[in-house]
Amino acid sequence: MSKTILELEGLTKYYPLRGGLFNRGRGVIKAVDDVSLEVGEGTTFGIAGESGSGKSTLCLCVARLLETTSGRLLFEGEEYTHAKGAALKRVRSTVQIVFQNPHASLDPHMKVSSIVLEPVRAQGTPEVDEEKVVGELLEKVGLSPSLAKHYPHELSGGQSQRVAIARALSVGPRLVILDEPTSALDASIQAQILNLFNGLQRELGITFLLVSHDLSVIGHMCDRIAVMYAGKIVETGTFEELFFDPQHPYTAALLASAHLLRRPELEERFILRGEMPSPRRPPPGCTLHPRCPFATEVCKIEYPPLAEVGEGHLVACHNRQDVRRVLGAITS
Amino acid sequence: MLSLFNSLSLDLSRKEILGVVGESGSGKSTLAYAVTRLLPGNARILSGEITFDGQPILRMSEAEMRGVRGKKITMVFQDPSTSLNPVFRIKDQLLRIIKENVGLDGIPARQHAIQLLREVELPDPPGVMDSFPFELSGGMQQRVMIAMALSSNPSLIIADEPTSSVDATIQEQILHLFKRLRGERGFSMILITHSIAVAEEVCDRIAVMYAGDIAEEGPAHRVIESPKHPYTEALVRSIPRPGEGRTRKEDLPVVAGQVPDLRSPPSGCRFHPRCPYIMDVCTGEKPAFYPADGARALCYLYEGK
Repeated sequence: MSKTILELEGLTKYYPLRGGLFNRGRGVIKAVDDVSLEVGEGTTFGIAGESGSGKSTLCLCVARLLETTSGRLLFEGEEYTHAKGAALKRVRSTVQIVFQNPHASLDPHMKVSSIVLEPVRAQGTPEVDEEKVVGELLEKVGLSPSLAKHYPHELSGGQSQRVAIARALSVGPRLVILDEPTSALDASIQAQILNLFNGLQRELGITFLLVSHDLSVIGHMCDRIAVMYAGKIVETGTFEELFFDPQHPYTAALLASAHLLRRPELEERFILRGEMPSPRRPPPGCTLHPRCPFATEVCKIEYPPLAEVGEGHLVACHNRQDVRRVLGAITS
Repeated sequence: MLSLFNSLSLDLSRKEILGVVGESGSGKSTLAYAVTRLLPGNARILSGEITFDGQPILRMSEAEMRGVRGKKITMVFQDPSTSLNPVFRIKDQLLRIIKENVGLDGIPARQHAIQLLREVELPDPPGVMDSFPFELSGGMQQRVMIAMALSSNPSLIIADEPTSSVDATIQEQILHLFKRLRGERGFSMILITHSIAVAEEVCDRIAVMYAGDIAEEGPAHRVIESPKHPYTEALVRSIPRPGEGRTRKEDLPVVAGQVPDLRSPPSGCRFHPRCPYIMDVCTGEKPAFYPADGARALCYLYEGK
């Protein structure tokens, strides 16, 4: 594996729950709960999960747009969990983020040129030929430099997302976080944007942290993948491990619902019952157990540890052998 | 003036699920609103016929139409949180619809409502009846919308992106629910979706729309596994399918260019400016539907074949 560029150690983000008399604290919502992962330089790391899994909160923490509750964030071995001042400014020039909805993430009052240059100006980079810089950035993302004078409302969804990507690239970042970057786009535009990301990685060696609910996108783009459910990583490994030997019932359920399980006759067996639990009152034991077709007594009591089942392939499930047996990965 | 559907023709049989697939602006929702005569005031249907159960929908009076819309033809929309009224409990909204469209009142209405909520697999129907919409998750709200659409035992349900605002595992549950209900109740369905995967999963037939035209129409698996129209082909190939032949991170095939502005659509075939197989004939007259391997494609490639 390539050199580690980003490392998360036990990253945790709790939101206090307030309510009742005098707005007193009433416990916490564990949006991200003890997440550890390593991202190799020049690779794409995928985080798969549904609404409420904590994947977007994780992005905001990594981008330092949210303060983490506990745990550590390291960029090339250097901790930046609580970086301030000049150190935080350095983080902003190496870590950038692209959001899901391009119309909402571009300021409607600003022209494309100002939008794209905003991170550069915030860095205080002196004396740049702004027009030239903007033109080059727009060309890099496949847009005509003539768009620089336009306002966001004049752009299509695909064009807006390209502007958001140009903005992220303006400071020459090494890591770009992509939070559902194509979920608001049509299928044919999605393909163009995904090709753009892969091209940028080939040319510039940029590392991506790609968050998506769409396993087809994750599978196409990512070298390593983590699947999140209710704030925790339930399974992580390489693309091959997760797509060809999924061991967590939730990973298998996500694959089944995207018709990527490769065992169509078994898809019905992995349909989850009900819905994700309210984060205010998570069930005891494994948070998936009320929905899980493989749940046993122990699942109601104890959260399973994230166990290493192969080098770098980790699974948090008491009954992972049953999942593998059903999928035919093991026979006995 | 925007001109949509200048050569659209579709038939839907009983118990059939027809998928209408297309990207934003392809006209797929307009098609659904035309069937229920809910098009906005500035829309005109210039020609053509819509026949439902042998009756000409376009020539019905508004009073006759009210006997069809909401009763024999019902709809399920994309975003249940904006379709449900936030200030009324589910029972108020459901019982009102039952009274209006089924003519039941009092205890029989309530029994009917609970039965419907049970049919859409909602846990604790009486509890759901007493809830406000915000107390239900998106998936539960959508089940309530489906229960409402079922209340008059319609013969046609039009579902406009019914699973686009819910998560993948919930989408799977709802698609299975549609399939089960169709089997039990025997209604026909028009499912409007941008997702080829969703259409493939539940539909018997698929119509692919492009710039207001049906580009291709045929049995679902045939249309997706061996697309005939160049647009369908491009659309199907642009979807990432990890682990199925294509190398990871390899460039996905894309359709060059942009969806045309329907205020001045291209001459001839509306796809010709973006089509890799363009021929001289494509820019002149609009193509007709030609049979192609069990499907129909609006494309000169299949003329005389």
